[in-house]
Amino acid sequence: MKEILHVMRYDFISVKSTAIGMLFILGIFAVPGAFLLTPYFGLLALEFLPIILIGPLQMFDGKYGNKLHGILPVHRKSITRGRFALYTVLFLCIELFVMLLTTAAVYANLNELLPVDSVSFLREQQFAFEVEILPELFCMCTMMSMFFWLLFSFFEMTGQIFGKENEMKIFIICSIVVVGLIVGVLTLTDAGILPYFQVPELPETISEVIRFAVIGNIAVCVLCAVFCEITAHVVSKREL
Amino acid sequence: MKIIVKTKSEQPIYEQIEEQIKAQILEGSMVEDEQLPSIRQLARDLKISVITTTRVYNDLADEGFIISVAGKGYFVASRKNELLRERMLCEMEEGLEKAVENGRNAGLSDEEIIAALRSIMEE
Amino acid sequence: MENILEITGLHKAYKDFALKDVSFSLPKGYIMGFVGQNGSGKTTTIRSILNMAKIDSGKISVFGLDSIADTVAIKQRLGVVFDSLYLAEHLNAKQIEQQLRPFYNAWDTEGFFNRMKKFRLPLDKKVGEFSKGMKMKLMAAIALSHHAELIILDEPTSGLDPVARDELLDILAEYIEDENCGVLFSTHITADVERIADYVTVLQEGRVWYTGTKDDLSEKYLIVKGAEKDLPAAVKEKCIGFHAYRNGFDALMETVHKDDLPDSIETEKASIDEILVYIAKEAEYERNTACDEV
Repeated sequence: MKEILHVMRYDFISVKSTAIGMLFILGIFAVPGAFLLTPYFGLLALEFLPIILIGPLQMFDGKYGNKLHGILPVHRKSITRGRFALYTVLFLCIELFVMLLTTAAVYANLNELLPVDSVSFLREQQFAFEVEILPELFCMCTMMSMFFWLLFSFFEMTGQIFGKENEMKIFIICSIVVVGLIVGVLTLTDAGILPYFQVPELPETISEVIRFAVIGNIAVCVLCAVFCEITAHVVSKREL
Repeated sequence: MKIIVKTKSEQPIYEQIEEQIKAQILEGSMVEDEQLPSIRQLARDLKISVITTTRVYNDLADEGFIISVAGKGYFVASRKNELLRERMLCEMEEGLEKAVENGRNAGLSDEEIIAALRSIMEE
Repeated sequence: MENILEITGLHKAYKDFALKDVSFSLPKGYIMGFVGQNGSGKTTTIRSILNMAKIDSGKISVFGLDSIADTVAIKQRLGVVFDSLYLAEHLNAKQIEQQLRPFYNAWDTEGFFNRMKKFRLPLDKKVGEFSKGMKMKLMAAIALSHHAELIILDEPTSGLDPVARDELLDILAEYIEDENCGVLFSTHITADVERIADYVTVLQEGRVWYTGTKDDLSEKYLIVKGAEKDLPAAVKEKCIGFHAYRNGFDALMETVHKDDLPDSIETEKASIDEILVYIAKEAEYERNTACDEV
């Protein structure tokens, strides 16, 4: 456990310095955007934060990972587990951060303070600053976060198992498979072979949203843990 | 103690050091009971192998130039030390033999060689 | 004498290269030069010690611990200097220190910064912008700062200028003053080893060609030169890497055969470099004759 924490810390320091500049730029757009334009702007952060934070990490591995992992006094599996654990912490933090940001934006309602005439299109967004939209916002936030978390963990697994250089191929293959599946399901449904797929209704109250977020995140966490163990198992048997 | 190591020399490093230490003991610039650096210190200072310095000290101790005191290190041996005295006599004889041989090769008579020796001693 | 590193019967085969029955040991308190041509298996051996390569058979023990079962415990006490940096290049030394500190039980933060100062390494510069010599010193500083009892250097001096190489020797000389430590120093620049190493292991095409003290190695072999016609056939048989040219020949020979040589043949001390050249020639020669026979 201690080893995993040390690995997480190691990775975090690696990305911290490259990420800080990007985070600043992101902050310039996302925070004022969320407060002045529409709280949905906060969701932007969710889309970019993982790329900013995790992208460089995967790049470092390829460059000096082998030798480093050969020297550090930790078990090979801890290195993989540390990486996935860092993803977990990062995504949960981002999710929480975006929820807080949007909530703050809704309650602050700074949009109202904007002069009426000069930027009238901004004033038109005012409907977005009502407390009623919070469940929907949270729900989108959770779903996006879970999606990216799963996506990045999945590509961490495939990247480590099949090699980072094959990442693009894996990405293309996965995209084709997913698109194929969706198209297939839709056509089969249209042809009446599959029963009509009922999209479950989104939660509407805050308490429902929180339940949805907790269950959803736990489910994704379990799935990522499976990815993690598969990766750790395969990678620890390899030569460095 | 002053030691110079020539890495490009044909002469092995341990011999170079042994000769220099002996010379300094014989000419008195290293005095009785003076402590020598430890084997590892010497190796570090000269950036040479520990095995080399170990050999130097062992050889010097065998020849009676230095003595090893357990737990304390190496010290310059007493000049009254029999071994050392014998060793010095031996070196002197070798030197004289060489001098006489050179003198004779140059065609000097015995008297002339002795005279030369006297004048050197008077200097 | 207690061995800090002991390798017995190490075998490791790759598609185009194999380590065959590599065995040697390094007693505590000494520096071993680990030499051989590029591709002779030095790096594979080191990777095996670090459990980066999975060995086919044999046993490696470091500090008396098994290199596979106890690899984590070993690495707590092991420092490594590679030919290139293994750290994130966009970080500065302060950040690197933060990253590494928690991994080592015996990490000495103050010692690390003192060494950075002593080695004249800047703290705020990205380590990726360090010169080759600075990178090497940084890796050495890291090894020293977790009080490594064994330091393994894998070709640290290749591409290094003479001043930086000398600084490395200074660092090692100071380090080995502590008799509980050991150094395995892989290099093909043998001048580095020639002076400071106590022991030498020579690898040739995946096999140990010589292992023992450096003094024994330089006493065991010498170079012979002269006219080929003066060389008795019986002695020629025993020559290693025999090289004939228009006006004579040169070769490496075991010193024990020196008495069989006629006076007209000159002999001289063989440096490790020269020994490497001759054994490579001998291997080449053997390969050629093997081909001819086929």
